[in-house]
Parts: sequence; C-alpha cells; structure tokens
Amino acid sequence: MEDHSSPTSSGMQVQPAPAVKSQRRGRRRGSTTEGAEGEEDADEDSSSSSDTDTEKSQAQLASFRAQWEEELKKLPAGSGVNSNVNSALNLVTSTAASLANPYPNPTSMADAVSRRTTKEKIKKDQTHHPFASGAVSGQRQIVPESPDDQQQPFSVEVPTSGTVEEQARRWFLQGVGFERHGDLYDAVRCYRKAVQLVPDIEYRISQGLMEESGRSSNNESDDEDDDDESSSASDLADYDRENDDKNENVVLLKLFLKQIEQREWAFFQKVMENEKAHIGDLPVEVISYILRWVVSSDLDVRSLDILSSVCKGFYCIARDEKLWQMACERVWSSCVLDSNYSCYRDMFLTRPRARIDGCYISKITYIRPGEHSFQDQSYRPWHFVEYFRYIRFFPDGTVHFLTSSDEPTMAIPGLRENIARNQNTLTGTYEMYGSNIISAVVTSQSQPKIGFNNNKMKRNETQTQQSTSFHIELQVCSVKGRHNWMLKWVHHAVFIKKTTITNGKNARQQNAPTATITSTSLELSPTKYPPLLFSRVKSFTPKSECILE
Amino acid sequence: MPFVNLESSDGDLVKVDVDVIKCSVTINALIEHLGLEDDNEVVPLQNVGTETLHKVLAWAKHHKDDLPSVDDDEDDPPRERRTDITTWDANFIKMEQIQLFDLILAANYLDISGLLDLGCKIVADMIKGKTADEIRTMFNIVNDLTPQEQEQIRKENEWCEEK
Repeated sequence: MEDHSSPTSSGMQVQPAPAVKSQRRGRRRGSTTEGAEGEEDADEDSSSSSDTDTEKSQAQLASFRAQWEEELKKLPAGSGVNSNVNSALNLVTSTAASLANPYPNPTSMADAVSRRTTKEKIKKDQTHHPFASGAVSGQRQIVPESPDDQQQPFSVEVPTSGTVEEQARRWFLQGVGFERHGDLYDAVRCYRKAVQLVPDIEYRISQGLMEESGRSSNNESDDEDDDDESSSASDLADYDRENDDKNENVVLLKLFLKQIEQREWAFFQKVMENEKAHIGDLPVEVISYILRWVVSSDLDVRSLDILSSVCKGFYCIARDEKLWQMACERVWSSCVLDSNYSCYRDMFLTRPRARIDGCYISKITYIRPGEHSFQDQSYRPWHFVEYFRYIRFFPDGTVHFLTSSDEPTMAIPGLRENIARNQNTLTGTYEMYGSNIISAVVTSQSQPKIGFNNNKMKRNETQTQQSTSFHIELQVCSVKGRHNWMLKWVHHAVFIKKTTITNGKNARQQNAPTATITSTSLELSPTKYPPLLFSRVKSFTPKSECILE
Repeated sequence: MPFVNLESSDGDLVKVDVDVIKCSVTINALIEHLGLEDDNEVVPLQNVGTETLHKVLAWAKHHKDDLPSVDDDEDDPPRERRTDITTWDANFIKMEQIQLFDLILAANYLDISGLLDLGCKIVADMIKGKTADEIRTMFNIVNDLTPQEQEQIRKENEWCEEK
C-alpha cells in the first residue's frame, strides 16, 4: 500500500491485475472524464435487469456505509495507514455524521440489508457464469475522481501487481471515491470486487484507519457507546437516554438491529451447529415474504407478534413497518399515518375497526310466561329464554349475522367460512363509517310465496316476494385496554320491501308489480340489544390461504 | 425443443428442456439475453444441490403448462397467486424441513414465484398457531433475548394474551 500513498495525476490509465475471481470480468481502465459519468456501457450487471435500479444500489450503499461505520466505532486502534486512506476516513465520518442516528428508519435498514445479501449472492454467481462473461464488455470506462477533488481519497491507480489484499484495498478505496461523487453504481461494483478478493476488507481498512486517526475522529463521528462488552441491558438504557423517541418499539428495534449487525447480520442463531440448512440460511427478504404468508389475507397479526418474541432476528423482521402498513391498508383503504399513531403497528392495533380474527357475541335472555296446564291450574310455568347474536366480520368486507339459540361452541364453527352454513345466517357487507362506527347492511330474501286472495269472488293469484334488510350501526369500543373489544348498538332499522305481483283470471287484469317499503327503526333497549363482546376464535385463522398484499 | 444443461453445486449435469425451466426468471433471462449458441452450454447453479435441483425440475415439469409466460420486464405482470394447493403439490411438498429450506432457497435464487409461494406458504402454516417456544424448537433457533428484553416484548405484545 506504500505505492498507493501519493495521489496520481488524473487521466492516468492503469489496468488492474485481475485476481482469480475477477478474471472473467474483463479489464477496467481508470480515466477521469466528468462526461463519462453517465456512461453506462453494457457490463456484467446488465444480465440482471433489476440491477439498473439506482434505488437498489443506494440501498446497498446505505448498508455498506452503516456496516463500515459500525466497524469504525467498535475497532480499537489498528496499524498502518496512509494519507489516502485517511482522507477516505474523512469521507466516511462525514457520511457517518449525516447518519447521526444510524437507523433513521430501522425497517428500511433491514430492507437494505436483505437486498444486499441476496443481490450479492446472485452477483457472485454470475461472476462465474460463462454467459455472463460473454456480456462483459472488454473495456470499461470508469470515473474515479473529479478534478476539483482536493484530497483525492482514491486513486485511479489500480495495481498491476501486489498482494490480493492490496488490490482489494484499492478497489475498496476507489469505491469510496465513486460514492463520494454520487456515482453509486460504480461504487457498489468496486466494493463488490474488493469484497470478493478479501471478504473482510472493510475491517482491515478500518483497522488501518484507526491507527492513523486515533480515537478522536471516532469520537467525532458519533457519540454512541463504544463499549461492545456492555450488557444489552445497559445498551438499552443508553438508547433510552439517547432517544427522545418515547416509542419503545423503535428503541428495541434499533438495539436489536445493532446487535444483529455486530454478529455479522446473523438474524438467527442455531441451537446446534450442524451442516444442515437452517432458517437463518434464508435471505431476510424471503423470511419477510414468509411472514406475509403468515399474516395472509386473514390478517393474522397475532402470529406475527408471537414470532417477534422468538428471537431478535424475528423481532426485527416482524416489526417491519411495511408489513403493518400492508395490513392497515387492507383494513382502511385510505390510511395515512397521522400523529395519533406512532407507527403502523400502533395504528393497526389501536385504531377502531372490526376485528376479523374472531366473532362478536351477545347473549340475550328474557322470561316469558307460559301457559297453564289443564291438569294443574295452580301451576304457572315461566320460560327462561336465552339466545345469542353472532356477528362475524370477514377481511373482504362481508359480514355474517346469526341469531340462534345455539351455544357458541355449536354456532361458531358455522361462521368459520365465508359461506353461510346455517340457513338462519344473514349475509351482507360492512364498512367503517366515521371514526368508530361500523355500518352494515344485511338482507334476507324470502322465497316467493304464492297465495290466493281471500276474496274468493275475484280469485286473484298473488305472488309476493319479500326482502328484509337490516341496516345496522355499531360503535366500536375498547374494554379495559382491549381494543375493538366491544360493539355497542347505535342504530338498527329494518327495511321490508314487499313486491307483489297480482295475476287476475284474465290476462288483461295483470297488474304491474307493486313494491312497498316499510321501514322500522327498532328501539335499542339495553336488555334486548346488549353490547356484543369479542372473542377470538383460533380456528378462524388456521391456515394461510392468500398472501398479504 | 432446445435443451439447456444445468450444473448443480455438487457438480452433476442435468439436461433440461428449456420449456420446462422457463418458469425460472433467472434462467429465462439468461437464455433471452444471451442466447443459447449450442446445446452443450452449461449453466452452473452454485446454490442448488443435485437433490434440490431434481425436485425443482419435477415441480417445473408438472406446472410447465399452467404457468403464465414470464416477462422479465421491470413491471412484472401480476403474479398468479394460488390459494389452493393441489393434491399433487401437497404430496410434492411433503419433505423434511431441511429440504424445504433448500427448495425455497433454490426457488428464490432461480426466481420461480409459484414454487417460492408454495414453499413459503408451507413454512407459514408451520408457524401459525404455535407458541414462541414451539417455533424456537421447530426451527432450531437460540433464544437470544435477555429476560428484560423478553419482558419488554411481552408488554408490547400484551394484546396477544387476550383470550
């Protein structure tokens, strides 16, 4: 790395000495034309169509930066550095400063990492790909620096000789330069090459950096706790102190992400070490995808929260805001995270809605006087009548109403599926109205009745069709901190629509169908309409039917 | 019908009908972008073992007619979401957890959405309705949470304890 210490003049063309792994990639030349910045010639990256996505490369960079920054923080003074490397550190510390809070958006962090891991996996494989090599253009122009760069943290000088580590170091520093110029695309490629040559090049470089810069710059870059050995409890306290954010969710998430990062992004740890495939071998994005299946269209967020208590890795993935946002969007078609809720998870759990992972039940009882029996006039029976109202909401906006004398254990299985099993079940639709009112309309269509007019003289045949629709409004309430646990009756009206078709003896007498609508608003006395209470039904979310989208 | 030779990570060569493997976006893109000049071209699959590769191919063969042709455009077409698992799929996916993860990895690597969905759905069904302890045992995961952290998560997830 001594030959690397002085900045070279711009425009110098040097060829790298390709290492074993990068031989297929063709050669790379350094040049310093600003104009070449936009030049995106076909290279190995073109074989992956999605790779042109700048967003992704930015995400990759973000994770790279965060990782390196973390290394800087925790490393003690190392050995050996030169001015180029030093200036590279300045770059990093400046980026680190912009990331005073290392994870402004913790979930996007996880996202970035997941992208990086899989992307790199694929990349590496393509490096060895015979087809891929065909796509690589033999020569490639890169833009390693701009003239106005005072420090020239990287050099166009790419070694034709030297150890593998030195080559890797240079690739890496070149990447730093690209990143500095905002040329993220090339930066990622340089980083990747460096990592391919020496997987822990970041660590080695930062070790070198530490010696030169000492701990002062380290302190400048951040004021976080440097002590790796501190227990997680004190870490937690530190985070609590540092963060004004009262949301414990976020605090824990940040802490866990930090810890996972420290163990090199191993989200899951094996109980027993063996060669076999482990859930930790799956890329984070795949696990996140699995969680979308867990939540599924049934919005089984309970399973998601149970997963979050399994381990740190699952916690971070299960608290992903994206998942919760998708769940929120399923419930409230338009949902913007406002100041009432700290995060989408908070919104999902506390904002009034109809719960769909169970059933709302109310029991109505009354006493009815019975008939005297013939034998014993003195005995006067009373009937104690007991029946239940069941309301089951489905994620797709349908609702089932059932009034039955069946006990819940008997009635609930019939409400599991979105097909009315019980003929007494009324089906309809529901939607949220206002902030906490569920408005539902259910209809029951009676079979056409054919009757005869009482007036025998006329002998008219009438056909009556009656449809009864219930317009119901329920207020969603919380009970003892349990959200959306109770539904109170607000309004209940019955609309009966009678359509009568009268057929006379003669065809001439046939009348047009007449429809009459009678509406009755029912009195909602507390004894007849007690509030419905929620009870969760496990069997309503047994299997994943459809992915959460 | 053109063929392509796939090389598993174990070094075994498998000759595959291009029509069968077209469900893989990865391989499809390779073929479309680069063209198959001769039938002896070998595509090495570093992440896919021989056993898994055969499973993937068995699935691909069974589903080769019911999958929509896959575009490798950026705006990928709406994916076919199978909500019901066919009997064939149900029998196919009956395998050890290890094989299942390998299969998911391969499906992800080869970008076969139908197979990835099937595998993920099976894993999701394994997770649903289990307690945290059961999940740890099932997946061989260390509980790396300290008692304090566990307590805090328990507080956050308090609603789960509702009956």
